[in-house]
Amino acid sequence: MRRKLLHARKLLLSIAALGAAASIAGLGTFATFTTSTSASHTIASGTLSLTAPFSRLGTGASPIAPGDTMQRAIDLSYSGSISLGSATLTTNATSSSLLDSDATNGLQIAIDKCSAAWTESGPPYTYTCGGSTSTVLSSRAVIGSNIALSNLTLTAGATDHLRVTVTFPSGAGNTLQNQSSTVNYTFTGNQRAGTDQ
Amino acid sequence: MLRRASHRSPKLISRPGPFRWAALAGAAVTALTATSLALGSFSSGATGGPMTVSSKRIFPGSRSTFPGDLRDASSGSAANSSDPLDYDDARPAVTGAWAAAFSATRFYQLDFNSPRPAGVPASSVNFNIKYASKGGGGSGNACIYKIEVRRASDDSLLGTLDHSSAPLCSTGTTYRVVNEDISSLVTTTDLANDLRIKIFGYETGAKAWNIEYATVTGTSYSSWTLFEKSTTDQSTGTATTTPWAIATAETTGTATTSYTSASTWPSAATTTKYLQVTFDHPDLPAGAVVQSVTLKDIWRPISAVTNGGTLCNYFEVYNGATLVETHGGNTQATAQSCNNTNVSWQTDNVTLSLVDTVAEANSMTIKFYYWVAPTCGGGGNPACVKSVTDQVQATFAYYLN
Repeated sequence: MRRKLLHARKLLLSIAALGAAASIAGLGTFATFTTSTSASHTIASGTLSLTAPFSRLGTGASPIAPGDTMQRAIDLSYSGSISLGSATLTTNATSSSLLDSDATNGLQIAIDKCSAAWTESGPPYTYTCGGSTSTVLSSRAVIGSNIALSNLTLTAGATDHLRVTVTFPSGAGNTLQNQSSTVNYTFTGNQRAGTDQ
Repeated sequence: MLRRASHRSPKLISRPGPFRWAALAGAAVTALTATSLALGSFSSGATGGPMTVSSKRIFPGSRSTFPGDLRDASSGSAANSSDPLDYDDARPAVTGAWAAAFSATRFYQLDFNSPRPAGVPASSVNFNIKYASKGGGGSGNACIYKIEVRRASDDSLLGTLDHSSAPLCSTGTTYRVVNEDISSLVTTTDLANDLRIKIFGYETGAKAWNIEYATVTGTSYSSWTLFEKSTTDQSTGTATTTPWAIATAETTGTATTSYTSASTWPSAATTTKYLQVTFDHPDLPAGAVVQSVTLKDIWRPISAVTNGGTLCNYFEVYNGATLVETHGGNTQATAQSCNNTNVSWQTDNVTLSLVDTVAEANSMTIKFYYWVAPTCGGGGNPACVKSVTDQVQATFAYYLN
């Protein structure tokens, strides 16, 4: 009984509220003096694009011995309209062996950047820099996820000229004989931080 | 209104109404949306590769071994002075007298050389032995009771081939050939390079054995053979250790650890008088890239060469019967080396630059020509002397792609 009374009271209150709102709307409709102004603007999002228009990373090496190094150039181009804030490298082995799974004696990777395009010779490929060089990634095990890269330009419209050096450590032992690995490289660019626009 | 509200039951007051549920749901959706917006951002990726990298089957490295085949032509006529345990050449090694039945303290032990590149899987590994009773009055059959396969470096047991229930016996002096498959025990070249075989046996008449050969063969990309570098004969119950004379550098000059030429050397080099060694089992695999080959020869005269004389040599390197290169000439001035003292050992380390193929490396024969300069024999001249060779060793640097 009490619940029925409560529902009835809510129903009446709702009807009253709707009535009040309709009255206010009606008053506005029948006003005689009005004024208004309007403005509009277009907001369009930019694009972020990281591409590799030139890459030697698909060039393998076989057979290698401890102490061998493999230099491969890759250009990273930031062709979108938004600059990047950071870039990372993720590598994975689709065909694995001790060459990639042995973090100490297996393959090591280092990346440096040339302010101009690398001058290539070979194969076997080697590179010289006609400008200035900077370290993008210090030597570390070849396999890793979201490895932070340094000293990249990352500016929309710019291109970074990178040299990837993969080294087979001279201390690698005989257990690394007759091994084979296939390594994929993924460079990921992340947008800059949001700013006032 | 307040008074009425006070009449509500506690249960009714605490239960959220439909508006409250809607508000809570809305707030949750808003929070989740805000969170997802905060985590979202643009990203873009570029890929490189795939890059396939493969390592060499055998890394570059140096592997050393000694010759098993030695021919002594110091007299002008070549005599077979090879390691008796390496070849089926009717020149058996003779053991001591065994017991007539198995004894745990009587054995014949062989330590093998280490010429294999490390870290390579090994297959078809066999211990091969040809043996028989040496014969003599009251002799019987030579029997193998068990064979232990051990690591030479620490004598640790890899496994035992137990024939105690049916010993492997020769029929008297008729040789028996046994090829024991030890592949399950010697699985890598690391183990092959560190191998000791210990044979526990007896002779039913308590006599000696003849061992015509005792080698280990296997395959690692290509077939290979190991030769003994040292034996310990404890057939009698008392150990006697004998290294292959020219296998290692002991620089003691004792007869059991070095090789003394059968005859004294002449006063002038002659092509008919020489010591010849053959490296017949470096066993470089087919396709290997030979980077360098070096020869080490440690020698001296058996006694001091007096009266201004000196013992000199030069040597030739052959691939089979084909001359590959020569080091030194047949005069004192052009000799490879000379040595007039029996106290100091002459060590010659020579790079054999023209031995640069697998075929040349795998059948390398060296002929050492010795003579006493300027002359020997006769009044006032130094005595002609024999040579003592402590070690001959070849080192092969190579890799296999």
